[in-house]
Amino acid sequence: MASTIKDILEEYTFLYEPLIIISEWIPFGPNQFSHFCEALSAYRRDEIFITSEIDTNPEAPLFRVIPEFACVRISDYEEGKNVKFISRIFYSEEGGVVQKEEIGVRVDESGFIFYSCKLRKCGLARTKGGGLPLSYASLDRLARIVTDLMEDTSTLMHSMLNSYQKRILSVVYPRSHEELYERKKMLCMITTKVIYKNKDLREIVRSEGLEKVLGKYSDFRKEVQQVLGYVTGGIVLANGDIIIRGKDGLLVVTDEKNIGEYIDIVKIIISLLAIEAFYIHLFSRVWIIWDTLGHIRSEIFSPNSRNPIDIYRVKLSTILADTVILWDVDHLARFAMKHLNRQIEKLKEAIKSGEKGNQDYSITRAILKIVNVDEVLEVITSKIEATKSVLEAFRMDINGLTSLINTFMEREMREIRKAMWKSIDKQTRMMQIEKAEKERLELIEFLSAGLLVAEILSLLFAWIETSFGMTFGGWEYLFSIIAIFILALLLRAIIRKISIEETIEESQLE
Amino acid sequence: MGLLGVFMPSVLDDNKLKLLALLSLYTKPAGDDEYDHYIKNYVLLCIIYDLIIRGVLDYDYSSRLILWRGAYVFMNVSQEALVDLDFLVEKGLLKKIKFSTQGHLYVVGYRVTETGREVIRGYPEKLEEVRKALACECGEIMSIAIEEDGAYYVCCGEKKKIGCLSTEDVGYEAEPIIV
Repeated sequence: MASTIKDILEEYTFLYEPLIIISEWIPFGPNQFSHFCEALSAYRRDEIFITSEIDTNPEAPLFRVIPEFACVRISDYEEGKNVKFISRIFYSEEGGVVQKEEIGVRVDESGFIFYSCKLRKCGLARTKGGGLPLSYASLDRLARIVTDLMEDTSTLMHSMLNSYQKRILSVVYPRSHEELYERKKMLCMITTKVIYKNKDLREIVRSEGLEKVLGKYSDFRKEVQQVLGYVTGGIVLANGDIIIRGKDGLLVVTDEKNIGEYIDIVKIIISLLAIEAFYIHLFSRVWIIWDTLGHIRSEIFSPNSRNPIDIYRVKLSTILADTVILWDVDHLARFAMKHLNRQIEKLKEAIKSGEKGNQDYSITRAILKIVNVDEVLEVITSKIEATKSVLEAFRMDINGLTSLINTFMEREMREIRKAMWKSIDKQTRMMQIEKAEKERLELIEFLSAGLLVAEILSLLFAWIETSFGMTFGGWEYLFSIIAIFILALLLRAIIRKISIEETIEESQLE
Repeated sequence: MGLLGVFMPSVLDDNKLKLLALLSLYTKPAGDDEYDHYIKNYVLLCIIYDLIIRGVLDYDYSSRLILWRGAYVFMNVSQEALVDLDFLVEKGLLKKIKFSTQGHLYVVGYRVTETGREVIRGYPEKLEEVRKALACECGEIMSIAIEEDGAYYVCCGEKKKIGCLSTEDVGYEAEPIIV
């Protein structure tokens, strides 16, 4: 069991065979859950290989797959409630690192998903010190294992979710379906023993107090933060159990006999954290939509806007699609919250009946006292409601902007039509002027031709007078004028006739 | 702080001094150009990771989910370095600022203060060591480019990838448990 760690690790904290529970909330609901169970063939309760690749070539007889897939073995299926299965993951790892990765998965109809496994052996790395058996996993190495589990569980779910769910996830967590990119998940680690600087953590906490152990600059804090994110606090229960809360999860140190009780209560707490994380990200998308709408609005009203108005209609349509899909999450989130509420009520009833019977439930009571689940539930429910009303307002805003764009487009069309009529009118007038001009020119041409004839006639009369001594008594001038007009009219009539004939011929040819 | 409220640089170990040197190379308080220059935390963490790998800084790191250009990625982050950065902020040698991204999530920025600059001037060998590690062949400090697939050192028209987004694998055996 090698590793690809480049650094020489300084390891101080080791967890004995930790139980790792990773949780996330994906919008499910009854329809998606049925589809999911169908994809798994959950009713057969057998083993199946699943790949995220899609058959885009239905007419081809063979289907090629990159050998990266998950093997799913159904262990329990309750129709309309949950499906539990074990997944063996066969995704390639770097540098010949061997990982026997088997994860238990529980998918609830409400959308809460739990991936869990117990780490039996952890590979060695180049370390300063160490020397504990392989069943002890250092937090340095655990951080890398948790990363691996988070990445692989995302790939696993990607093979099973339908396109509608994938679309929701890609809106809330942009690019999360692509390689390298991830979505937010919550983590809980439960262990029976923690060794910190070669000592049992419980002993250190007993002697120094948890506050000091979690001190701002303590090595323990630094290492825990590698896995849980920023440490926000920790408590020691009356029975000596230690619970440390980080931004992204919990670390529980308890006895073997209490693990079952912890699992029940921790599942509720990390479910709440998971749906809260989902809504934080969903709401950040809501702000992005708000920004985009504001930008579009100012662009539409800007006199300097260079974009054609229809571009905004396309943009608004894309935003509307995102808004609708986020709005649609609302009823699935409410469904999930109802489910959580029922779980909490069940737990409370169990505590009550346990008080009458033999079961203690002291851990559950202590945790419920620290984490006011009812209050958290109320806060998340109000967040869901607020998000829905904001999204409804956005829908109205988008519709308003779309109608505004339509009005602008209609106005633009009207103006275009008006401009067209004006242009046609102008062209007609120009044609008329052109025609008149042409006629004027023709007349001048004919008159010029007549003048030429008159000149010839006057020369003819002058020749007759000179050669034969014949005089016409000034009548020759009148004769010339009449000749000019007659000839001009004759020429015009001939040319018109020719041009009419040519036009007829052309139109016939056409 | 000393008895008279004056900062005592002796409380700074090798790593903290090098962090301060690193910040003084990439950031500065408002001066001639009226602007404070901050370095984004994920960019700083990329450089820190690279300096760890090259043996300049002595920290551990592990992969954590962080915001990278508005989306989540796993990146090799040193919690020890983050704690040391907070220490330097607390001592007034660095300043920390939080700003919103276009995606309405938050990113932290760091910059050196005037006090921080004065302190690091007293350790020219640390400054030189970090400068040497981050200098291009031309002698200039390499700038950082953030791209979709990771961070790059950029200088003299060339790019060199910093492998801060490549997660490391550890061999393990896990027994499935259904909760």
